[in-house]
Amino acid sequence: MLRNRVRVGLALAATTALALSGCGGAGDSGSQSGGSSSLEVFSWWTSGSESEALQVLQNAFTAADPNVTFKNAAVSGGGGSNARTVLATRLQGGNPPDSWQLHPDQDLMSVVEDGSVADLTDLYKQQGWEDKLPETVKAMLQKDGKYYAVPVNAHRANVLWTNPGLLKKAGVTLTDDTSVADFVADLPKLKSSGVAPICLGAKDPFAPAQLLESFILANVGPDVWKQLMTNAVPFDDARVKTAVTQFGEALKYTNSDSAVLTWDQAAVQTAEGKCAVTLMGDWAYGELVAKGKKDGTDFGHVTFPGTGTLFDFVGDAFVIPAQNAPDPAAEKVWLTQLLDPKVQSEFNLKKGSAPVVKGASLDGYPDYQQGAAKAFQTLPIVSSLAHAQAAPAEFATTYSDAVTSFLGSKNVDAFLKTMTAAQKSQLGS
Amino acid sequence: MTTVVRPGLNASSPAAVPAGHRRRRRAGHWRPRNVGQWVVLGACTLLLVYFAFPVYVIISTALKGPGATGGSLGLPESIDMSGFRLAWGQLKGNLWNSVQIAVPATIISCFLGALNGFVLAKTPFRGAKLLFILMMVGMFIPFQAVIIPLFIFLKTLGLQGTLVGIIAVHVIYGLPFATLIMRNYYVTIPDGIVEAATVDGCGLISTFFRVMLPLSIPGFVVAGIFQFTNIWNDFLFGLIVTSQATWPVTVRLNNLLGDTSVDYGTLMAGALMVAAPTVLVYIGLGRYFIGGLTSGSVK
Amino acid sequence: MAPSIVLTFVFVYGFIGFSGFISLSQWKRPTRQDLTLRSPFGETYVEMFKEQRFQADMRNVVVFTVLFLILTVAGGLVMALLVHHLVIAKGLFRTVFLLPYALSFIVTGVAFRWIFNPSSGINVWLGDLGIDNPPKWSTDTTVAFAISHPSGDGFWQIDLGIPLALLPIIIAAAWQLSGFAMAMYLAGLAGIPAEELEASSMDGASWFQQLRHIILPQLWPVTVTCLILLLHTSLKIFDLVVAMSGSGPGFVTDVPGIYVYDMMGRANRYDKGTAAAIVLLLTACVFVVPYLIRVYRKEGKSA
Repeated sequence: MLRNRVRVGLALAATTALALSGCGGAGDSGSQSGGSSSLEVFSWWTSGSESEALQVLQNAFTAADPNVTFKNAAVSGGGGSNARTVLATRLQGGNPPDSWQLHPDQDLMSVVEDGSVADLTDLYKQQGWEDKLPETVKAMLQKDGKYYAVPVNAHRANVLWTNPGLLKKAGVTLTDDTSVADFVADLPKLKSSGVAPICLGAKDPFAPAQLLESFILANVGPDVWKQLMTNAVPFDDARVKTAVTQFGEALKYTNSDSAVLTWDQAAVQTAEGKCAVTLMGDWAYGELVAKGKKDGTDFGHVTFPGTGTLFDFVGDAFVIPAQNAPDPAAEKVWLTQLLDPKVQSEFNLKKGSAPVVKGASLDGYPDYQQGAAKAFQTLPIVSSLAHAQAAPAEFATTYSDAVTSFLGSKNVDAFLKTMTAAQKSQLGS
Repeated sequence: MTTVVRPGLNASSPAAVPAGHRRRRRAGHWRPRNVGQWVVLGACTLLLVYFAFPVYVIISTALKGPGATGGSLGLPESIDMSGFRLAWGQLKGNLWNSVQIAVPATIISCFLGALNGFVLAKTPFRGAKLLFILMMVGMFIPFQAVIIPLFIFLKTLGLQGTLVGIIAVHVIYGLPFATLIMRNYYVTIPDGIVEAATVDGCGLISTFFRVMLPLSIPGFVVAGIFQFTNIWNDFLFGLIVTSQATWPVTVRLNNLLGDTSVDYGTLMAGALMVAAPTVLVYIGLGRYFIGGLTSGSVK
Repeated sequence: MAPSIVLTFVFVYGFIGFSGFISLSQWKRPTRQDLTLRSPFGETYVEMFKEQRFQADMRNVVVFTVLFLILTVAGGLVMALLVHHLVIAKGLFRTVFLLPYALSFIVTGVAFRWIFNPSSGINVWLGDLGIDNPPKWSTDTTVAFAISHPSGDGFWQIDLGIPLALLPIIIAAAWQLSGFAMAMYLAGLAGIPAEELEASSMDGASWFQQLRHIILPQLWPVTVTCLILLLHTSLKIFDLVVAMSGSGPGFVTDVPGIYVYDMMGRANRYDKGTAAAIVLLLTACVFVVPYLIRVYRKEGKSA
């Protein structure tokens, strides 16, 4: 009797499953290997200027290969926090997009070590890219002499966007040479003039992480920063402690609704006079311009006090999958377009960043971007930790979580203890 | 388990209505007769306002269209339906995914639940109760406890990211609940019917198909409503087991929330679309819903 | 029946066992499976309990559960008593009160997120009423009634109290599920024999005395069932928090459900993710297992 029931039950289940697999296959053919004439590009570029910049790339691709449909699989959430999880699920599930955005250096290394991304050395040789990219950038794209990603830009993360009117009213002057201690001392002056001194878009976890990073860089400089990332210098070093204390101090002068503001909202609010300064990478520049704000009148910029002599580098790059690649031919076309000099010029103009390939013209670029491009070529470059570029994903997440905890507890010692322990267990010796 | 519901599951009139009320109702007109009853009515009205308030917020914000901003819990100044159009454009693919997931999963899990419930209710065998309890545990576990092995399992089978995968997941994890409801329902059907069928020469399987199944409609309705609601509203499994192309609409709605600058007008319109199917089911079949709650759980 | 048993055993017990095993192993990065046991045994759990984030998670889920259960069960009882005694429009009220149960937590989260937005939402109305410093709701990092304020680097790294940021989430969850509690209590009330109530009122008992001595004791089984069903929902709460506030500044609204998800996707720590999930499971089992045992025994008696 039991067996009869088992048989009936199993048969029913099996039939339904078979029927459904037909439906299921049709339902998601776009995401698996069925879609032979589409290119699915995954990124977290969903804000105004980011979408426009992505559109430039899309247009270039469609012009080069009109038979293939471009699918924009962007996932919202500033700094990619949501996107990373979605991407991780897809990669772990064996269902990668045709190409996805990531940061070079350690962010790239984690997928290289997984074996998830394809070796692009042949493409590099074909296109002669080795001679056209800066040395520092090339070093962040390769492992054991093989290239794994195609870079598209160079963003500077240590930029302080200001509201000139408010600074003037409070009698505060900020230049590229201002020291970080003077900046912290100026904060009460800004507050007494009636506004929140700092706009922080803390809804995006990377924003406060980046702010703290700027304080640390200002106190330790590029060389020690690199040593922090390799556990050669511990996090409870006195200079780092000063930086974290200054960060705690600065948090007292941030806007009260920071927890619900995103990075772009914070930037726009600075330009609109709701606060005096905001620290953000120069993707904020692209965003402000896209929203119609004028450099010089609505907003100004200086390098974050104490970091005028370095370039905190956040780069974007694209990779293609090593296995289960939906459409390898289209992917190669896509990658080739990315470093076309004309495409580079147009893309970076909209994005607010600096082009990386030689021969990309800076004609028509506004002053800020010309300056940033020059700085990229001349100043020492460090990788950002807030964007998971300077260290492996686990350490970057520990850092980000520790910053979030710090926002609540303001406990400097606990923060340093967590980071030092993480250095030992995650960064090895 | 003593159940409070009779077969038929018409639970709209509670059993122990004080006799006086019944008489008054039949008399044709009734209203609060004393202070106490007015107080009760007043309190309930206040609560009604409280409960309806968020629904009102959703609807009014959706009607304000994209770009609804602060000062925003008041009535819309002008009705702008473009939020609905935008939301539809973003959600329609995922709405279809949700339908493709919820409908088959509901049907299959209810049917299997009925099979199980029938066996547990009508064929006493040693350890049946123990097995039943062990199955119930499946209802109570936090799903996070199985999510990582489940992910690995589906990936190995190549089902991760597919609709079949998530349907199977919902069937398996919805089975305990469906079994519970159907079993409780079958317990209320007199054993005599099953005995009569056996005497007439039916084996267990044909008893089930010829005799019980036609009687099971009310049970199926209850189990179906609950399963559909739970599966349609699910988020965790949808987030982990599916891939971007097969996201159910709840996951997509949450993703819209994460947008750099949230457009609440469109978002609320989207929320309405996500809520619509289950709310319609609830309004249409509400009394079964309530009956099912009570029959399934009161011990 | 047999295939269902097998399925349940594999997918529930089998997977739980596997999760437990992973939590004791060294498996971190999803793509580099490493199932060798970590030594010392259970070190991942120790590591996790020392983390500020996980301590905050446990505090948050306990506070949430306690306040949510009180609000929802008491609220459901009150609503059931009221609706039971309504003379008109019973069906209407019952339907509206139970409607939130049909919604997804995400929909509820979206609505309440907007309502409790500190710069718009009801704070605007509060401002109109003349309240100058409206609450910061879910962006508030204050932990009220904190019994400890760690500032150094001892074991406890969190304030042990009630994070105010959880209040909007508790209100939203109670809104969603009070109707459910009400429905259960209504059925319970319907099962109270009318003769007892009539007899006691003839003896001169007031309504309040009836409540205390007849109604509430008879509703005790319903209360227990309600508590268990709601408890297991609140321990694994995930959707609502994600939609309303995410992890919150200083992790004031983070819950273990989110922690598991983050560890799995973002932080590449399968071992910590499963460890947190097992902790959640054990916490639920502490309450659910005795309840199920009781049900089993009663089953045996009434069979």
